Amino acid sequence: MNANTGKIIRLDLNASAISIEMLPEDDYRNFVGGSGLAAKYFWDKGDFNTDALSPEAMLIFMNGPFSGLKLSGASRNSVAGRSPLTGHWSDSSCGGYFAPELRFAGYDGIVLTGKSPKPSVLLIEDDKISIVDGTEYWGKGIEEVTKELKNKYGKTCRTVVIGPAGENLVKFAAILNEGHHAFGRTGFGAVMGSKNLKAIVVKAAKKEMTLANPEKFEELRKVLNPKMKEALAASLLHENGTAANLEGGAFTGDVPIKNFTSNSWEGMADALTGSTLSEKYLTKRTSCAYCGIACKRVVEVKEGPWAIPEGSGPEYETIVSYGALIGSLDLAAVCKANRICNDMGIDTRSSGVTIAWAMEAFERGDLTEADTDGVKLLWGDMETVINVVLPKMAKREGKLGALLAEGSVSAAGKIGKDSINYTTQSKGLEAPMHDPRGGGHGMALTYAMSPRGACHVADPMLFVEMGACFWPEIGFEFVLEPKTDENKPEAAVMSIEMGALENSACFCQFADREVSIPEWLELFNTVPGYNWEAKDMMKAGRRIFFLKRLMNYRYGLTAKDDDLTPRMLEPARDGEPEGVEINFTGMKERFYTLMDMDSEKGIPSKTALDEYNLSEEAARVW
Amino acid sequence: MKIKVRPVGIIKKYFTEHELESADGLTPEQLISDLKIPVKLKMVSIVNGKSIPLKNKLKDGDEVILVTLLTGG
Repeated sequence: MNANTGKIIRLDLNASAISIEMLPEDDYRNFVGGSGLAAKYFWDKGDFNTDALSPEAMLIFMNGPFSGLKLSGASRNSVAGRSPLTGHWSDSSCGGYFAPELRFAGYDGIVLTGKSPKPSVLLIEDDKISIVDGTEYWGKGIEEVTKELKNKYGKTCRTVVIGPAGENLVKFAAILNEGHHAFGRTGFGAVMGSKNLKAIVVKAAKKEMTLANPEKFEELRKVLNPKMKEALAASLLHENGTAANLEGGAFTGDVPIKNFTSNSWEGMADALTGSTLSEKYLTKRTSCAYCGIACKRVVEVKEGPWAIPEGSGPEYETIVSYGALIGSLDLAAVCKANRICNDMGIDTRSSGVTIAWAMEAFERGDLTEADTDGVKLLWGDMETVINVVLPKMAKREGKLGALLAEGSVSAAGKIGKDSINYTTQSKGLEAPMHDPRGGGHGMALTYAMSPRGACHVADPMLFVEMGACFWPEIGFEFVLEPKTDENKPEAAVMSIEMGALENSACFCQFADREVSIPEWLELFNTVPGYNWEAKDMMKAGRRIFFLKRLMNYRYGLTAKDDDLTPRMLEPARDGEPEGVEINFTGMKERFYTLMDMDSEKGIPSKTALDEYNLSEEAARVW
Repeated sequence: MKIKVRPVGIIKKYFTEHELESADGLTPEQLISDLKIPVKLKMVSIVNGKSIPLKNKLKDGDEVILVTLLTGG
């Protein structure tokens, strides 16, 4: 086997039983790696009746085939399993430095089940794998634990760590690599916490990989790295981070404001955009492993109520979640909130969206001080958010902490009063900070179709509608107007296939925008060595999407769950997209037809599954 | 006719806010070309507060905001 090692670590924490398992080569070829390969593993060996936070639950970390290559954007990692937040299949991706180290240590993934009798740390040093006592780390923040682990195991070790939120089973708890690269979404930090696993530490003695055709890959690498680094988008990302052109979204209505009640706010763009972050607080730019783009921010807030020392800075999604979405234009407060979330191990998006929902509920009187331990939840009140709400949420403290730690859907279910209608989510996952009403109607469709719930990185539809994707070799020749439904289902099919590939290949969607279809093929053909044509590659993408649809069906989801909330589909109330209707039902029906999916079950037809080599899987659902 | 044109976000690197005199029939598409904005950027023209197709004709007194959708995640 090339590039991939073919080996995963299988760990039963109940008995500290460690074994090495070989995966079939066909599974790599059919499901690529990352979230696709994890889904295949779970389909074959997981239990669909197990609660996400029970000891029997399976948690999977999985690399892609390119992890460890000296190639920009190629070394992300996926964590996957049943989400405690949504209750169905999910995966979450992270950049940083964990994936290459795991690959160099000799493994493509780690599969965890069981629950350790006491807090523990999984230590992987090449072929020496052990469970060590983690009691001294329990209860501590991620920053401190990451430092302590590096002091103990050496500066070159790589870590993934959960914070107090994960320990306290907050449903959107995150897992952080190196203290600031997050597996943010859908609550896998809580799954680690439920297993009493505080951290995983990996150290590899050698940094070597075997490739199918190293000479040809080297030629390709020398083309791709400069191309990815010098692209206009990449230079913007480097200069001013992922919020580099927040102004664009501000003027088109892409940036959601006050729980998606507004799409226009004078002064918002200048207050929150990436160049303002650079001017006021940026001290350094950093990167994930082997990436020449370096879009990560290091910030310092020198004075004022939100002063913080030099450390990790916020991404676009966090800037909006803890800014405009909750009615604040205070960028220093965003930096502070981001730092707390990273240290506590909280997903900034689900937490920000849940707080925004709670603020609207409080304004409406659906949520009262009797529900919030006397805390007033007011738009833009960052002092309360930072000093009261976030700590309560992370510790599940009081009525307010217990309510919000469950996420917006559960919280809305508890208070009732039709408050579910103004949650902003699909399938229980809080929405990203791109409002389809202003950003592009196709995103409404892909948010609803995304297997893990409302997501802008399950596939690159955001970039597709921006005009940033060029795939003539697979017939993608659409000229799209963002605020219409024209050709969106057709574009969504290709976007979803590409997204499944990207996330299974564990490739960064910022970097790989510059990778053409022939170059993708060259990567697969020179690194793992698949001898693929474009149709084989795209077929793998759709196969992975189909498999995840089947998994969610087994968790009880059907076509009716491919939906957005009334708040997300009502015509925008102001700003550039004011009054425009999204033809959501029309796009959904067309998409189902194009994908040959059953309009009630929400899964592909038996014929479609046969065509995509999923006949055995089809037999479980048809 | 007189047109006022204003860049937003990263488009500021290509021109500054200014007024221009133009013959009738100018479209945002032509304006983008005249301002030498890279063709690879997906541009949106917001005229007097609402986006309009790039091929629509502008009229005297229009205020045009040019913005690209390129945004982060």
